[in-house]
Amino acid sequence: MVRDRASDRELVERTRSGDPTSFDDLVRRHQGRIYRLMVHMMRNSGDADDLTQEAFVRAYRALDRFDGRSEFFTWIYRIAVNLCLNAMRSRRHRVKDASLEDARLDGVEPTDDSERPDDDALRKQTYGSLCQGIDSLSETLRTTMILVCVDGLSHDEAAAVLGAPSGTIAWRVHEARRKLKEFMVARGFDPEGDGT
Amino acid sequence: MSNDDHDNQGSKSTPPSRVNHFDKLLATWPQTQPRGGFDQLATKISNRIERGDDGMTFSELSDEKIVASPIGQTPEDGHNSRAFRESDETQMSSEDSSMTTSSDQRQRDRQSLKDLAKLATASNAQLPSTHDLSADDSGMVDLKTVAQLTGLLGADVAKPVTPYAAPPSSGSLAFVRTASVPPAPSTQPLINSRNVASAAAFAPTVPVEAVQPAPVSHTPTLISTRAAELVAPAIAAAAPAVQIAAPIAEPIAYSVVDTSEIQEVRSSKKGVVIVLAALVASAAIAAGGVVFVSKMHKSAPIAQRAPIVETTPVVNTIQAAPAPVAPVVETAPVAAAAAADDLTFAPADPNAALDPASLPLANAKGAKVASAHHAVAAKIPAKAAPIAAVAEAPKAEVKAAEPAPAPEPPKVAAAPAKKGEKGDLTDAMRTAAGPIEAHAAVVESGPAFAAGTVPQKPSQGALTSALGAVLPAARSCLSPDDAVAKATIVFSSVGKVDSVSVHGGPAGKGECIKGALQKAKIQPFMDANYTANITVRP
Repeated sequence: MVRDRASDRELVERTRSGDPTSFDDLVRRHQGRIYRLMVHMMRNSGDADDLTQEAFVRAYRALDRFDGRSEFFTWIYRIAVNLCLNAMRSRRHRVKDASLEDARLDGVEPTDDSERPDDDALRKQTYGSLCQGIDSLSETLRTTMILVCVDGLSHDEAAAVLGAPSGTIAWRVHEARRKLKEFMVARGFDPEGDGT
Repeated sequence: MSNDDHDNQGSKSTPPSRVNHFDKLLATWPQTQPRGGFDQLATKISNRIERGDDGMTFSELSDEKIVASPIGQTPEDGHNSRAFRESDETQMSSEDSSMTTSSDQRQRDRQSLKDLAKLATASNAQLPSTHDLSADDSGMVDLKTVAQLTGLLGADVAKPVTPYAAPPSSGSLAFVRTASVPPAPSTQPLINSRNVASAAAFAPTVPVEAVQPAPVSHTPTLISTRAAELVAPAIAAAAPAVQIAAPIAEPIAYSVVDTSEIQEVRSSKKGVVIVLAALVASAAIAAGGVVFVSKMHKSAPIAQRAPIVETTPVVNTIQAAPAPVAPVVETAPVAAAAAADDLTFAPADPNAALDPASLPLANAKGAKVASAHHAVAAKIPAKAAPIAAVAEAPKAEVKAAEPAPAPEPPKVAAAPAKKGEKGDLTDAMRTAAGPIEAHAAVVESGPAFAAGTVPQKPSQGALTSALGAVLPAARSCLSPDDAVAKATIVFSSVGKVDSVSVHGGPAGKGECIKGALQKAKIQPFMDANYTANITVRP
């Protein structure tokens, strides 16, 4: 389909020129990543759903401000991160302990037809501890780690999203990894092992 | 899901060193799906857009803030050299002391710069141009204005002036030579001739009571219409040499006033000679400035010799300018003239004598309020000091007389200058100004920050360092479970904290945070104030 091949910039231009379906394409192209970011930031599927919608609505409203100097997906990421942080701060959204009901662990649920339920349990336990470790990080380190280590943004892309130098992003990632590793090792997880 | 285009962005990530098992788990974190799936989510979004939803149900962030940097450089980012460390506090302490000692001076520097800029702007619009200035002018000081002011002072003696046939010197000064007397020792501080010129300009507005008499001890002999032009950039030690060179290359006007003509002037307007004395001082100081700039030119790279900002407001100088109302001067030295081997002057009229000892001493206020550049003038050896006394005289004279609203250009005959000729005024004044080492020594002991080095706004590093120094104390106000507090710190231009406002955070701990953050101190800057936001986390 020709429309799917269109770049983000082309879709943005079409949206600006009045094509209502182009922005739908942008939404479908990026909503998965934005939703994943929201889940990891908010740790709640309901909030993640709402904020994902909000992020795209705000992006649509602010589309005239998109000057094309950055990629659209980093721009929408920035909006999403701002919304998350603002929501967390304004609502004092704090999760003291990541429980196994954490929305981040939804995808880790063992399936009924799993051949190795023990492995599934260990895997979920490991991810649960990772959630706790991530939650123990500061807001800055946690956000950066989610963008880079979970969402897979490069340092440059994360730098564009967060508005910090790439070197700073690299340092944050290093620091977050170090702390997370300490956290996990302290709980008996082997960083070199194959827990899954 | 159709977000395939960017799902592999992770491959562009900078690979972390020694990827461990946890990194692999993070990178392969299972994708979660919203309730109803992504198609339903996309439909919801489309519906909200079609409804014209403002998207502010969750957050009321403005459109500006929604696209702002979420987490830029923070104090937590301690990976660079300016990170928050214990040593920074020590360093800040030492910086505090140095900044405190000179912050007032720098404040005056900035104020004076503004004053000079206003003066320059006003003069360009109001005063007629007597000559074209070089394009190399800094624009900070309107030399034309200074020249006009000098012309105003010398207007009274314009009529008796006759062309001077003597060969011109290499200096760019125009003279009205009247008399020459042997030098007499004086311990009065040499006043920056910029202040003289400025004082003359503003003298009519200053009450007579505010003026204190100066020890006018000699007949003024030199009038320099260009001296004032030279003085500002020359005494300003860091002024580029090109600023000096430009006016020197221009033609010079010389005139001579003989003794009888001076008698006429004295009988009608005795104070005119005092005006002449001021210009003598200007000429001498200009020479000193030339010497000083030459010295600086040899010893310092041009980049360091940025235009200097006059640090003393003109009004301060005027108030401190001492002078008798009707001084009659005689037999006092003209340091510059006396020190010049090649210049000869006619003796002053002894009938117009005034005992220098009977005159009160000059008030030192002017020197106190002066900047480091004034200090340069004040520390010039004593043999040049009589010039200062002469320089102060015209201020009172101008005050005694009715203010002359319309400045007249100096009426001096023009003659081309020949630079570098033996016996030129530059040599004479260089001799009169004293040893260069004295100037250099004073400059070395000048302020820690040259006027041109004050930044427009505080640097990121300074800000980070300053906030980092006080952040631990602010954090200590919060308990581990307390909410994050945000503080807005307003720094004044001197680098101190003007105000701190704390938002969020636990109730009752705002004052503690505020008290901790109020100790922050940064380098002074040009702007009126600077606001910094900081997040205080437990």
